[in-house]
Amino acid sequence: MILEEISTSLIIWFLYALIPSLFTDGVAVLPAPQDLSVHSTNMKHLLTWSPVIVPEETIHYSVEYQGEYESLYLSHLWIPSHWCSPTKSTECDITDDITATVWYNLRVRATLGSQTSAWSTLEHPFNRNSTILTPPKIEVTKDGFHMVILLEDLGPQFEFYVAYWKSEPGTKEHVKVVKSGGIPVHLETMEPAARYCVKAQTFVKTIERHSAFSQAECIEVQGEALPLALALFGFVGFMLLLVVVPLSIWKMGQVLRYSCCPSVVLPDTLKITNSPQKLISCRREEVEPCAMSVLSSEEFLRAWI
Amino acid sequence: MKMQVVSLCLLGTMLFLCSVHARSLKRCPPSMDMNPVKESFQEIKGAIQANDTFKNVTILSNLHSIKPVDVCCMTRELLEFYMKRVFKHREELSLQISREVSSISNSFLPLQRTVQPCKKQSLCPCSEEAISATRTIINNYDQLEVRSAAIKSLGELDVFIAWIDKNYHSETSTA
Repeated sequence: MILEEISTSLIIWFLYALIPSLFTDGVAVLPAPQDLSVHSTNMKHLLTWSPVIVPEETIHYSVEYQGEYESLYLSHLWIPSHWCSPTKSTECDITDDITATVWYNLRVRATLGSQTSAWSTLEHPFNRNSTILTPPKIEVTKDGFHMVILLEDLGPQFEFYVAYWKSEPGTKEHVKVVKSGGIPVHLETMEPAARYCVKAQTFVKTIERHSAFSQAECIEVQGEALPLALALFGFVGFMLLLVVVPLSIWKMGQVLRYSCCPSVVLPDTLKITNSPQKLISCRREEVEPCAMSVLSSEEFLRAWI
Repeated sequence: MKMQVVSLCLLGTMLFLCSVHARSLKRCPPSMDMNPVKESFQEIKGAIQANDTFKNVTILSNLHSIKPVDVCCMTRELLEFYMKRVFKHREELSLQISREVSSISNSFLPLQRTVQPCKKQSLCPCSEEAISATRTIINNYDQLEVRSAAIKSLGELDVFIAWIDKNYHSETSTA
């Protein structure tokens, strides 16, 4: 009986001693990250994985890569990623790590304090020549008669082939190579009343691939209507000038004449009224007193005429 | 009549020799894009060359004497030399230098693939002089301790890049 109790206590004691050691072992206690995959668009490569969940704890992740050279000649060598050793995020921008057009192996592990998970390796190696190249965003504007294009800036690895043409049957399509985006580029001086269209594609020299062409964007230049309106405007203005200027000169002349030579005020005796008038006639050479006589209005008028 | 036959034979022989010579001069490979190698090397050039403790020794000592007909062979041999002898020694390199050496070594792989078709098409023959020049480079390398030899060879990548530019890009402007 006593022996049984002692053996039971020993077993229990052994179990209590064993359990903590399971938690202090730093190898493979933490689950490894799963579902590693690489999404690559326009030479930007993003490695993603599913998070490792430990309640109320912040997990850190480490990312390492191995180029095709290392896998052939130095298979034990893995290099820590530029930006993701360590990281708290469940994604990693590996663009700066993938610097050659060869196959790359990638692996991720989780850490929590002194605990680390096993490495989880990307199922299929990644080569940057599998990146998805999208048609570039373009903005076509006109500066007077100049056609100008602005291409999106995709970085130094991208060149652009820009095709443009006059939207008329039988016209030739022109192609211009633009070495980098983000800067307005003059394409052509346009003819009036014409419609021009532009489209563009990217080319990445390091992987020797093109994107598809963007949707064509078209612009029109104003035709002869504008100069005609101006000509009409000019003619009307000229005609107005022809009429207004002489009128103004004549009026000015009138004003000047009347201001320089004021009108003479008639004396009261020379003013004609309806009642018979007294006419005083005086001759200078006659010393005789002036004779006053009353004239009728007809005799008065006859005297004036 | 006899004179005419002899002249025609001589002309035919000359044409044959010219075609053989022209075939050997045909550029293969047509180009070598060293820009990725240049960019990575610029990042570590100072640090690598500062770690070179044998400044009086040159490993790539004879590149200036390589004839045009041996350029393809020497290109192939030098690429293989760097890939198999130099880039494998990453111990004691700092993380930054190790990353750039990884970038350079991985950029050499596509260059090797560019040259391989030339060998298959017999457009990359190795003359006795080319074989001798390659042997000299390897002997220079083996005379030094492995780590020092690797550091020195890494530091001489600018010599190799300049030689490639001279032989493959001299008629066009380089980036």
